[in-house]
Amino acid sequence: MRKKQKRSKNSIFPLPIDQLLETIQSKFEGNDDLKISKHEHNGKKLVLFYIEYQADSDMLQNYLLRPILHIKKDWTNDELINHIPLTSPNKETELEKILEGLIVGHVFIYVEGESEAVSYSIVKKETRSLEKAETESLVLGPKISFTESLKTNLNIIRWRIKSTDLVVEELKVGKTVPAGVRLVYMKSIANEVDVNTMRQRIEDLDIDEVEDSIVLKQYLEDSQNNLFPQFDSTELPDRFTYGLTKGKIGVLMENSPTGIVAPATLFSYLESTEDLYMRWQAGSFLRILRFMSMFFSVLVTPAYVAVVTYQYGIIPTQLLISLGQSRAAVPFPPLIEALILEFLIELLREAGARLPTKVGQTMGIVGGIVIGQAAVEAGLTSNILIIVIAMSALASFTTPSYLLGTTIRLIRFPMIVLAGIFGLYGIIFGICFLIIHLLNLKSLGRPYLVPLYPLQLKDFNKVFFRTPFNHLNKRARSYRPKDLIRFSKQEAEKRKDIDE
Amino acid sequence: MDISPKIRNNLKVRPLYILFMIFGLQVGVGIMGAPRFIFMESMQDSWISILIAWAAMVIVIYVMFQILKQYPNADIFGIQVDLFGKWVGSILGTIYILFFLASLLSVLLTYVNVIQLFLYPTFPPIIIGSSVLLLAHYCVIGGVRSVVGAAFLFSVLPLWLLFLLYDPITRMDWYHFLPVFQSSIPELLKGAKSTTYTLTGFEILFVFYPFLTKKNKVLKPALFGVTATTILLLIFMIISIGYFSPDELKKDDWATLTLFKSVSYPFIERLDYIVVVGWMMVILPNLVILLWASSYGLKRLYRIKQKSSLHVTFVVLIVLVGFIKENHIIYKITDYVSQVSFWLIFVYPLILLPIVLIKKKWLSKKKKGSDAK
Amino acid sequence: MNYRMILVFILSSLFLTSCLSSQEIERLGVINTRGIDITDQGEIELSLVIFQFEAQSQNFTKVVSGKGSTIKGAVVNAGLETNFILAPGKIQLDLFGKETAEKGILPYLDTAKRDANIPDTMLLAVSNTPAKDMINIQEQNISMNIGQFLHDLIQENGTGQKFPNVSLQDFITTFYDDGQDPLLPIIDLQDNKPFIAGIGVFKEDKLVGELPNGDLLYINLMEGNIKDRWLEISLSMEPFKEFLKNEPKDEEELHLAFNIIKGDSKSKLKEKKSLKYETEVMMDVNLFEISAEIPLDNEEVRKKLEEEVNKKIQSDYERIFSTLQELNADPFDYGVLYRIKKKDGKLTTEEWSEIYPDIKVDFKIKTNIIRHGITN
Repeated sequence: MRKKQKRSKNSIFPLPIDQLLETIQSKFEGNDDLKISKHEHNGKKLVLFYIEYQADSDMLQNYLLRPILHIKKDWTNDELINHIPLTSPNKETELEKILEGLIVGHVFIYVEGESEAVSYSIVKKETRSLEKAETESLVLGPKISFTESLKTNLNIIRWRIKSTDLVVEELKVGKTVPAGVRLVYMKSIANEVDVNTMRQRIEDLDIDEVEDSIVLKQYLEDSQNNLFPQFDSTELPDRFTYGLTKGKIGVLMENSPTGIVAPATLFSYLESTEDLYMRWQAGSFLRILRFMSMFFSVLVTPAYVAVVTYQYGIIPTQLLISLGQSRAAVPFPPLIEALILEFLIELLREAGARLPTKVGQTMGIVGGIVIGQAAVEAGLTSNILIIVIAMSALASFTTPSYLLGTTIRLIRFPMIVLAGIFGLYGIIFGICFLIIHLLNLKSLGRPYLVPLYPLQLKDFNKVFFRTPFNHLNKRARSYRPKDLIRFSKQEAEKRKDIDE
Repeated sequence: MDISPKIRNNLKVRPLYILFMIFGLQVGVGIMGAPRFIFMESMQDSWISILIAWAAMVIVIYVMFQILKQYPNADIFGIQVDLFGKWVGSILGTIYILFFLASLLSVLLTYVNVIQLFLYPTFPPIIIGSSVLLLAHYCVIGGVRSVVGAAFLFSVLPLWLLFLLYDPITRMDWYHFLPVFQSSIPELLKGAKSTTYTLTGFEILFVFYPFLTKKNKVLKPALFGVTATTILLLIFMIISIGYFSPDELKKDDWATLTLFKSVSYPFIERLDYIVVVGWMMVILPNLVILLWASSYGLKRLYRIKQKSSLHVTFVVLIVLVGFIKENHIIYKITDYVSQVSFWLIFVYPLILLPIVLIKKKWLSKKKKGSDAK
Repeated sequence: MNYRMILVFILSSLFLTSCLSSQEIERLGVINTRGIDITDQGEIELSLVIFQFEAQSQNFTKVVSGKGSTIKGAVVNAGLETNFILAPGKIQLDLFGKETAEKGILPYLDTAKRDANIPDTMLLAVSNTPAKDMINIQEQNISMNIGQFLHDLIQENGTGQKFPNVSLQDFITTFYDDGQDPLLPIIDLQDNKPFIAGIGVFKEDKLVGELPNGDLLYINLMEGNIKDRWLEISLSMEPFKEFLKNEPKDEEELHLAFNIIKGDSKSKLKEKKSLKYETEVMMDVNLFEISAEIPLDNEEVRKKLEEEVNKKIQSDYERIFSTLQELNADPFDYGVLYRIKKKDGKLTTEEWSEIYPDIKVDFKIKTNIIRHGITN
C-alpha cells in the first residue's frame, strides 16, 4: 500500500562516506549503540551502519556481510542487491528516513558515489510467546490472547480470517514517539462511513506520543467526559474477529496487547463470544443473566440504603424484624455504613488485582471472610448489608468487558449517595439520569443504545438473547453492515418430514 | 421565517416514533387522577366517555394531518404565519409556546404535589422540581434525537407497572358497572370533556411533523399513539370502577395511585411507593418534549438560540415551582391548562382546516388565472 | 452558560438543602397493631404494639398506649412513652373494642384512608374484650408477638378458613357500596389465649350482631370461589339405617368430613316485584371421614347422602339468613342485585333497609361427591 519511493528533492546523496558518518553520528550523539563498519574493495568504499541490538547479528554476518565481501566485481547498489540473499531491499535518500529506519532495526549500506543508500530490515525483536488470556478468560473457545507484537497479532487475525476481504491499513500516530497503527476491517461488510470516520480520527490526532492502544482508544472516542467506554477493547483475537465479521472496525497498535473494536453499544459489552460456543439456550441464559446482574449490581446496595433510611414500608414485616435487629447495633447511618463496606470491597478487589496471583487469592479469603465476620461482630455493619454488598460485587464481575465492569463499580457510589440522601426518589433519579446519559452517548457517531433506541426489533435475537444459528441468517442491522445477509435461509430452514 | 424549516436528514426519525412522542406526552400526571374526574361526570358509564374522547381525537388528528399535508414540510408556527401574516401568526405561535410552558408547569407542580403527599411531606418542592427539570434539560441539550429517545424509552419502560394491576383486577366487583347506559348523552359528553387534561399531547404532531421521514406514513402511528393512550386510560378507568365503590372513587384524588396501594408480595410490600417514585419516568417524556417544543418554537418564531431559551425557561420554571405550594393554586393552574387545551387542541384545528383549504384553493385559482393570461 | 456549571450548582444546592427527615429503621417504633377503644370520657384510647430494635435486647416488641381526641393525637400521646419515633407505615391490624365497634368505626378509618403512609392491606377486627386487654396479654401464651399472632390468626387460621374481605380497602369499599354490608372477625380470649370467637355482622359501620365461627365456610362460599377447604357435617342417622353394613348402633347422628375441591355460588333476583331471590351453591367434594360404614359404591346410597347433605346445608343457610334479616344487615349483597335491576341503578341505604327484611331467598344446594378416598 505504500507509495514507491520517489527520488526526493532533499536527497543527501551522493556524499563522501566520512561526511555521511559525521552527520549520522551527530544525530546519535551520546548513544554508543550505533555500529559502523567500513570496507574497501577495488578502490570502492562501502559503509554499513546499524543499531547494535535492533538488528539480528547472525543474519548480519551470514546474509549481508559475507555475500558483500564475496562479490568480485565492483560494488554498486544493483550488484549488492543481486548478491544479498534477502528480500525487500529499500533505497533511501533522505536523512530523516535513514534515521527512522535505523531506530526500527534496519541495516544501511552505502556505497560511496551512489545516489541512494540500500537498507535491509533484519529486525530482531524480543517478544513473549502466545499465552492464555488473563483478564478476559473464557471457559469455552480459543484461549490465546494478543501479544505486544503487532506482527504476531496481525498474523493471528490473518489466520482466523483467511480472506482477501480483510483489509489492514497502515497508519501512524505520535509525533515525537511515532507508533504504527493498523486499521482492520472487512471490505465487503464494514460500513464505509464508519471506516472513513475512524481513519479520519486517527489521522487527525495531533499528539506527541500514545502509550498504549487503550490510551489511543480514549483519544479516538466520541467524548471523553462520559462514564461509559465507547469503543470495545479486547485481548481476545476471537472477540476481535467476531466484531470484524459483524461489520465493525478494529484498530491494533504496536506494542499493545489490546485490540480496539468500534462502533460499540452498551449491549455489545455484555456479549461474549462464549455465548456462541454454548448451545443457544445456555448462551441466551447467560446473556440475560449478565444483563440482570448489571442492573442488580448497580441497584441492590442503593436499594438497601434507601429502604433502610426512608421507605421501611417496602420491607415485609418478617424481614423488617431481622433487618431491624441487625441494624440496631450499628452506630452509623445506613449511608455511611454502606459506603464503608463498599470501600472495603473495592480495597480488597484492588489489592487482589495488584498482588501476585497466589497471594491475591489468600487476600480475598482473608478480606472477605475474616474482615466481614469481624465487622459484623464488632457492630460496624449489619450482616444483611454484608450479603447485599458481596452479591453486588459478585454481580459486577460477570461483565465480559473489564472496562464496563469498572464503570459499573464506579456508578454504584453516586447511586448509594443519592439513595442515602433522597431514598427511592434518588435511585429513580439516578436511573433516569443514566438512561438519558446513555441516550446522549455516541460511539463512532452511532447511537449507543441501539437496538433499543433506535428500535431494531429484528436485532433483539442477536443482542439480548440468542436464537439457533439457523435463524441468524442476517447480520445485526444495528452496526449498519454493508452486506446484511450471512447465508441463505431457505436451505437451512427446509422442512423435513419424520424419518427422511 | 421559513414556512417549512429545513431539517438535516440525520436529525429526522422514522414515523414510528410519532407514536411514542404522542403516547409519551399524553400519559403523564393527568392519568393519576383522571378516573375520578371522569367518574364524577358519567359514573359507571365513564368508559363510554373515554371512547367518545377517543373518537374525537381520531377526528382531530385526521384534521391535523390534512392541514399538514397541504404543505411539504411545515409546522404549526410556519402555517400560522403563512395564513395570518407575520404578526398574527407570531402571536398565535406564542400562544402555543405559552401553552406548552403552562402544561409543563402544571405537570411539574402536580408531580411535586404527589411526591410530597405520598412519600416526603418535608421534601422541598424546589429540589424535586429542579431535579426532574435537570433531567429534562440534560436530555434536551442532547438534541432532538435524544428527545425522541427519551420519549420512546420512558414511555415503554414504566409499562411493567401494569403487571402490578393484577392484584386490583382480582378484587374487582363487576356489579359496579351495572346497570349500563344510565348516564345521559350530555353527561357522557361532559365526561369526555373531562379527559381533556389527560389526553392533551397529540398537538405535538403539529410541531414535530418536519422531523419525520416518509410523511405519507405518519397518520397511522399517530392514530396508534392516541389509541394506546386511550387503552391505557380505559384500563385504569375500568379497574377503578370495579375496584372502588362509587362514593369512594368520587372522593379519591389519586385513584390510579391508590389502586397500587393494596398490592403486596411476600418479598416486597407497599408497591405504591415504587409506583409513585417510578412515575418520574412517566412524566419525563412530558417535560422533555414540552421543554424541547417550547425552546424550538422560540427559535422558529424569534430566532432565539435554543440553548439560551432553554436555560432561561429552566431557571424560570424552577423559581415558579419553588414559590407555588398551595394545593388549590395547583388545581387552578391545571384547570386553566385543561380549559385552554380544549379550545386550542381540540377545537382550533377544526377551524384551521377550512381556512387552509380555502387559501390553497384561492392560490391555485390565482395561479390558474395567471397561467391563463 | 456552561452545562457543567449548572450541574455543579444544582447538585451542591441539593446537598445543602437536603433536609429530608430520614426514617432509619433502628430509630423507629414501627407500629404493628393498633387497638382502638373509647374511654368513658369519649376520648380515643390507643394501644399500640410496636417493633423497636435495640442492640442490648432481643425482645423487640413493646406495647405503648396513648389518649387523644383524634387517632393521630393519641399516637403522639403514646409516643411520649417511648424513645422511638412511632411510624405508621406497616400497621397490619386495627383492633376495635366491641363497644367502639357498636358505635361505628368509620371515624377512625378516616385517617387511615387520608394518610398515604398507612397501608391499604391493613386488616380490621373486633375484640370482644376491650382492645387494650387483648393487646396487653402476655406473650408467653402465644410464643410470638401479639400483633403478628392476631394478624396470622385472621389471615389464615389453623383450619384454613380465610376471612373474606377484612382489609381496610375491602371494608371501605363494602361500606360505600350501596346494598352491601361488611363482616369482620370477632376475637375473644379463652384462658388468656386469643381465638376467633365469631363473625361480626355490621350494618354500615356499626357492629350489630354476631354469627358463630362455624358459619365462616358458608360465608366464604357466598363470597365466591373456594378451594381445598374442610366441611364438617352431622346428619341424622335415620335415612341411612337401612344401608348400614354392621349392626346398627344406637348412634343418632352420622358425622362426615368433606374436603371441598371446588365450591361456588350464584345469586339471582328472580322476581323483582315479589322480591324473590335464588341462591345456588355448588360444591365438588371428597369424602374423607365418616363415622359409620355405609356402602358408598352404591349409587342409591350416594344419591341419598348427597341429598341429605344438601338439606342440611340449606337449613344452615336459612338459619344464617334469618339471623341476618333480623339484624337488617346484608353481607350477601342481595341489595346490589336489586340495585342493578332498578332503572336508575341507585339505591340508598334507607330504602334497602326497608325492603331487606321482606325479601325471600330460595337456597339451592348442589353437592357432588366425587371421591370417597381409598376405601369404600
